[in-house]
Amino acid sequence: MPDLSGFPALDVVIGMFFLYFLLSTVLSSITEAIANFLGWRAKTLEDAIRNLVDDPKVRRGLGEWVGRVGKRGVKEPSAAERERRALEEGKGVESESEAGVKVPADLTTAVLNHWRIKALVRDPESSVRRRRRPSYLPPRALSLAIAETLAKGAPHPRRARTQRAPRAPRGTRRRRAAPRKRRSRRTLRTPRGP
Amino acid sequence: MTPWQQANEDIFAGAQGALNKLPVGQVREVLQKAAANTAGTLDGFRVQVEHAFDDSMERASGWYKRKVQVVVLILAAVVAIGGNVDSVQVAQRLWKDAPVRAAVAAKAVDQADSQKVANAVDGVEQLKLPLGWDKPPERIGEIAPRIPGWLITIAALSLGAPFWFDLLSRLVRLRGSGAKPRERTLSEAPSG
Repeated sequence: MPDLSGFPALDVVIGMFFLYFLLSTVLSSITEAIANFLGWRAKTLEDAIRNLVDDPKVRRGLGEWVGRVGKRGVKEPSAAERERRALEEGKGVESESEAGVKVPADLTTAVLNHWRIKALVRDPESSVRRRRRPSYLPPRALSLAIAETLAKGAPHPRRARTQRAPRAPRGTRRRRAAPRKRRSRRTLRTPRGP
Repeated sequence: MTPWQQANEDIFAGAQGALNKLPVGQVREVLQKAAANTAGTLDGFRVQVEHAFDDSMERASGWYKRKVQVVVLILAAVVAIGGNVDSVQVAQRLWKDAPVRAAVAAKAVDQADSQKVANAVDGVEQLKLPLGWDKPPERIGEIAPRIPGWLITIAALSLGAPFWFDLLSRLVRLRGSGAKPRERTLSEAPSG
């Protein structure tokens, strides 16, 4: 094949760059596979949220990404299980004394367990982080989760008022509750009535 | 009653109440600032939080890239040494061997024009360049002269595929034939 270009030096450079291009394409796909397997996107995202809200970073145990294989050997509950238990038992809740306001000790975990964010994850119960945590998070999901997580700890404005009221004797409380029930039933019926 | 059953105003009121109970620190400051600037609406609060989140995501993608870069560098070393991709040797071969040079350049032009990545591993094998080990090296004397070439390869590969593709496209344009005319589809054909 004759040399059409007449610029051998240019063709050498083009050839070298082409070789680099092909090889770095191979490299980037391997890297992507490794990062996927180790759940780096999810980890970076979680770390960034922790950084934003000033929570301590999570250290990844070996079982995090070994997952099912590791599950058989390890007796400890998985990270997901531990988090859920802590939330359910209220262990992750502190400073409850002040006017009934509960603030989760680990805000990030509580936020990431919010329904709006769990809905984005394939398998929220998994012990593997890349399946349990989202890799991408739309900002609107996070802002809603933060607001509602904070509000969840706070007493509901209306409920708070009834809680703080002095305890009434049984009979009066029941009587006070009854009309409210009846009212709600009536409001249900009226729009249907002729 | 869970927050998601409440109206937005109640959620905001609740969140604002909880804010002041947070431990003194960054979260409290970030969120208090957000709550203070919102004129008392949940949507305003959320927008402020989203801005803070966007900024930290920008940083986080920087962390992620740096982390990935380390892996790329290690893999580049494995490929360069394991596959004996000696940049110096390859360049010499291209310089001396006109048919190989023309074939490689033609493939490169083809690639840059079509803008699609064919099977890259096959592509490398078809280049007929002096890559790979014919036989395992026996003496240190065989390895030493190749080290500079390997280092060049490692440095080049760590720059990433998008960089090389971009550069390759520019050079191909410089080579003279110009951009390939786009094929017209039937619907674009001039009518009449």
